[in-house]
Amino acid sequence: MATTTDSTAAELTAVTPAIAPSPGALRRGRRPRAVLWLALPLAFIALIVLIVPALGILPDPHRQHLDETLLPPFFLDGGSMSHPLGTDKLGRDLLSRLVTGGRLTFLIGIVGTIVAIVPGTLIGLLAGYKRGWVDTVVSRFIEAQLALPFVLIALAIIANRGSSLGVLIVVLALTGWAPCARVVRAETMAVRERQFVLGLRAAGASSARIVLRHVLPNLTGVIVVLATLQVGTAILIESALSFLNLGIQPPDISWGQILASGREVLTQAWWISTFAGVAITVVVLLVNLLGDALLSHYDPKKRKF
Amino acid sequence: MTASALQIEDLRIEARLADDTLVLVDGLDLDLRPGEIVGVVGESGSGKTTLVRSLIGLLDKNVTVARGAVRVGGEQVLAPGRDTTASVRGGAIGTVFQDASRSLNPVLKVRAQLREVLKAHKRGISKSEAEERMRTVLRRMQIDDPERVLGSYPHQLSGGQRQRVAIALAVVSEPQIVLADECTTALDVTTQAEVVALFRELVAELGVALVFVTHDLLLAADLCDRVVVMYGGQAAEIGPTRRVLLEPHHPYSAGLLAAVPSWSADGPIRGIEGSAPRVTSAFTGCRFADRCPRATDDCRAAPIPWSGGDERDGYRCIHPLSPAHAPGASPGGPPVTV
Repeated sequence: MATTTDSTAAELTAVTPAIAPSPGALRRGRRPRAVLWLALPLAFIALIVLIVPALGILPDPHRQHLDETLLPPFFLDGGSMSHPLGTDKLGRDLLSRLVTGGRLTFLIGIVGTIVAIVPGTLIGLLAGYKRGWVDTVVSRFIEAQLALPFVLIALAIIANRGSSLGVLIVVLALTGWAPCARVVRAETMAVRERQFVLGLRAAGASSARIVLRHVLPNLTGVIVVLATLQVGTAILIESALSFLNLGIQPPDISWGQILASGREVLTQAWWISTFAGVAITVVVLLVNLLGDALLSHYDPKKRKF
Repeated sequence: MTASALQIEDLRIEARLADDTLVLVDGLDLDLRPGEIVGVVGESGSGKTTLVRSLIGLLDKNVTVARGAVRVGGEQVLAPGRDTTASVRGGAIGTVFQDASRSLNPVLKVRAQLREVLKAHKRGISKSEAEERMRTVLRRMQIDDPERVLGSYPHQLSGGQRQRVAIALAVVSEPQIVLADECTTALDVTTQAEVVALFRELVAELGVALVFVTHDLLLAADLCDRVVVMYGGQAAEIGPTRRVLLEPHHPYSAGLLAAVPSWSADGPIRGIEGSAPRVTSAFTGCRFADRCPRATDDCRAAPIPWSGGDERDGYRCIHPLSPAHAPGASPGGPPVTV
């Protein structure tokens, strides 16, 4: 039991460093095979993106070769192994750009998740535990937030503040906290009615202690699942914004931005947008499947007691 | 006379509803000395749980203390418009709840949960002292390997062990009063017997005063020095356990006793017809009158005074069963089997 718990916890922390699950929360159920099979390829991709650019085996992603523009990938006529996935319209190596751009995409996925999940969780805990007028106010804010179209918020902020990584993170925080707060609030309301909470109050524990030390660990499963799904959402949002030229600006590289830049030359060089799109799809799909696997792992019906 | 550990005086607790005011506890007097075990018995809705909750300040928002006072160790903690029970909660008063498996946090180890209580009430206790005390309290709970239990999650323990841990949580801060709210209800009889023995030992060794809330009359008889029979928020009868069980004065006490299954007694078990009344603020007279075989018009006309000895031994009935205490009472009424 102990080893299962430890290794599972390790995998989960690898995916969502923001919320380290307590070992106790993971004790239920069998070893989650699906979780492992989804976490491994994700970790592999993350590792490539993180390490390979530093090794210097790929060409400089910013280096332009104007005599080698729009080269096709190696498996097409005119392609070569010197640029395995071809080049873009400025002759930059696409593989190198994808690997390097993945860094920013992963960074946005993870940081964008932390900034959404942490405040969302705290707000949800507060509303769900305090109830009363606090809950009413928070719930109205959540509903208002969920009613606002995301692109509108993003446009308003970016039009005002310009586009940068920081602004993008703020946009992700502003749009991501509400769904999380809503779920955490509901779960908190369920946990606070459990008898051990009454016992804690009878033992003289303060509300803050009860919430942070006792209620929060009981929500680990929910929060891990929310966080996983949010990673996918954050990556997609970044891609969408970059595609609209509202996201990452050159010379920084992200997958969404590569996708957008390939759009102009789609008829001559389909591979630029395609490879970027495939990268986004694969990672988001893996992350979402991982979230689903975790969700069923934490399903109360499968709990042992 | 020793000083009281817990003193409840004329306590009245009301619940405000949208259109009405319900009286949950009314005119309750109770005096509890250190080392004394008082059983509070009564059916569901008799006000037992409200009483316990009021002592630790966990009443719902619309429930208030309308009259009376509660003193813990001589210090007033509860009165109308005044509730400082938070200061005694977990410190001077420890509470054991109904279902141990649900009163422990499933995702924290026992050690963390015990330490939590210690930290809150024994400020400045060192880590090794805390460890030592946790082991001592678990050993007192007849747990042979405290080290293993401390490192376990609640689901890794047996039901009996969980109940012991729950009691340990209540007593680790060395309270003067322990409230046990139906804490043996969910246990099988052997575990129940062990828990009862444990309580008895705790009281004998530590001199705590124990309020044992239960609807199991026989269990109360086994454990308690005195019992309070509650009905409709009032004490129907208070007295030494033997006296109340063998010689109940209040027809409700007698009815409860008659409803206890017994393998030695012949004949069917007699339940009490009807169910507990909804007591609004407009209610007058005896709360039991509608279900009482001895009820007369007098019973419904005016509030029933407390009769018998004093608040430590007496009853609230104008037609009591046993003629010894009330010579003018009418004879008859249901026979009593113990």
